[in-house]
Amino acid sequence: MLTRVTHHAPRATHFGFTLAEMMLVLVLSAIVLALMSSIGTHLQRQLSEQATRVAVGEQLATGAELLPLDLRGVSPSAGEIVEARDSVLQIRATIASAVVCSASAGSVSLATFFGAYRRSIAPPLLGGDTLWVLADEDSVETWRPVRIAGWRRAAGVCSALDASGSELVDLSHLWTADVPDTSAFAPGAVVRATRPQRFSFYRAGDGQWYLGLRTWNTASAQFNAVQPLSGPYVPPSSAATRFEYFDSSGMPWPLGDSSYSTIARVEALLLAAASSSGVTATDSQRVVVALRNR
Amino acid sequence: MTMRAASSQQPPTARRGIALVTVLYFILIGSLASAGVFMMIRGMLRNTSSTTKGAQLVAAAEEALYSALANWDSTLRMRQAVGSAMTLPVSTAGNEQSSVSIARLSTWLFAIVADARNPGDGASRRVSLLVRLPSVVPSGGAALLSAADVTLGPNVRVLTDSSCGDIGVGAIALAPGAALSIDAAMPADAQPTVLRDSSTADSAAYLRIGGRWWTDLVLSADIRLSSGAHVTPMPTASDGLCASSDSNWGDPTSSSALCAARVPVIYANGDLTVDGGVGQGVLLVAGHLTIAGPFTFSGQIVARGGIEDLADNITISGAIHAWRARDDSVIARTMSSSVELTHQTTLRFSRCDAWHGMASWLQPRRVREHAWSELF
Repeated sequence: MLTRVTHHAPRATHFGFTLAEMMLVLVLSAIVLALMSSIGTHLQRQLSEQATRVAVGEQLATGAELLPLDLRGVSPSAGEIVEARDSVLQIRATIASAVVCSASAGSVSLATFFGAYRRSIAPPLLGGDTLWVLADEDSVETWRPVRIAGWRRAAGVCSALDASGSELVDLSHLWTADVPDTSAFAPGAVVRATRPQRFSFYRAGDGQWYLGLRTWNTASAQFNAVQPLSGPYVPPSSAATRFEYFDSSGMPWPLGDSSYSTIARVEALLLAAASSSGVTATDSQRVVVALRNR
Repeated sequence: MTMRAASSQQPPTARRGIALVTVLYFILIGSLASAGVFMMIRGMLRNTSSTTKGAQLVAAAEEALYSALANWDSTLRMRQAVGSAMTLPVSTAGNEQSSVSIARLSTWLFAIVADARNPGDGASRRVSLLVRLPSVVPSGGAALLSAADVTLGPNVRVLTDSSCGDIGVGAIALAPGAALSIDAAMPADAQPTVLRDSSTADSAAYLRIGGRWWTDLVLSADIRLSSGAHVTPMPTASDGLCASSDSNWGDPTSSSALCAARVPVIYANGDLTVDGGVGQGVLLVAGHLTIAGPFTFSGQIVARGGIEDLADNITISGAIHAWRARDDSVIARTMSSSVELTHQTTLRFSRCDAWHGMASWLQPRRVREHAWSELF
């Protein structure tokens, strides 16, 4: 019995590794680690590239979404393009539309049109803004500008439209505009509120170029500081990022001309570049806006 | 035996490697990478899709808008009450559903509002177009515009249609050379205002209606009557539909009547006698018009060889033009070309009814400068 026990004891010491085994394991481990590191770095780089591309895409998409909203309804023939250059586009944008419910001395009651989803947004009007009323006369209709002196909620009902009009116009929430002359505000007339807007490619404090918007400050009667809409973009000096204009025949509208009424189409060329972790991605987009009120 | 059993259970624990850890590591890294790429691609697609979908919805709404304008039903629109809105049937094209409403904001002005929405994600866009009917003021604002002499009996009344926004007392417009004779028995407050203007000497004032000339209208007339015809127009139905016979001049009595939408252009190639009845549209008489029975008409009448009434209960709402030169081959003029209304007859100036008579060719146009809007 004892002999058998001593025979088994040395076999337990065979569980260790030989030098060759250790070397082999170390080499294989090094190879595996190198592969893992290489794949990880590659993946990280690819992810970084994708992230940069997404960032560039978002820069372009924002510009592509926002510009047409304000530009589509611009009427060049009504003088709503105030300045058109390759880096600047100043317009008179429509910010609200409504129907005249009634008019009394010095004030008019208005019901605003519903937007998409039959949604009514409180018109952000202020004293000093301009209302354009469609004066509908026997011979011809004209849009007449009237300066608003005051703007507030109103009570009452809109007698210009019956209940069937409640799908189109917010008859439940009326507004009152104080205006100096109400002669053109017949019940049922359409009014638009406009405010200047100035789009421009500008260089921000971080040294990058953005598409910015300057909104109009009615109180001070001047533009507010520029706010970025989208970007950064490649500088306009490279001519890659710019506004372009075309007339109704599709011919380029000559920059420097002052006859803005012939502009029929506005295009914004946006070239975006972004860098991240040493990765630079560039992409471009051409935003085409056909003006509906030519 | 006890020791042997113990030594035989040792080896498995000593053979653990790093294979499992390595596999798990790669699975984790791979999953993270896939998830990251998926999220980014999804973000890119969402951005692109949002822009594209918005543009598609605006395009669908505009298509619905201009389709409504192209299929403008003038007759229906002229009968639509001012201040009301009508919704057209919903149409579906591709993934977008479009609906259109037309509001009549004033006598001339309409707002077409089109909605396009994607039922899948609920995205929606709304655009509007302001359109206006041509500015046509029939007969210079008078119930009767005459280049020939006019005689009015004591029971003739000349009114205006206040429901259409026409105000003031009824008026008769006369060419400079035309004489007016009013029966002395007519009450003073019933006597019409008389307008005389050099423009009433111009044939265009009589023979150009809603921008179209007499000749064009004659060529495109829906009903043609021979010279000397007698007719008693009445709305008639056939198989549940409004019949298109020569004696059916539509029904002006109700906008929901079966023949309310029938607004014909009627041309009589010479003298015409109306023995009573009901009708609407534009009545063009190349010769003399005789109304010999109770008659209700809405629209415009142009007679080139005089007008006379031989019966009571005649109501004409719209406008009447009496020109002084016949347009037929009748040489022997047995009847006067003057206007002689001596029975109980009401002439009501109504721009709405006059326009309604012209509805078949009055088409709206976009208002100037700023007709289109996207509504937010």
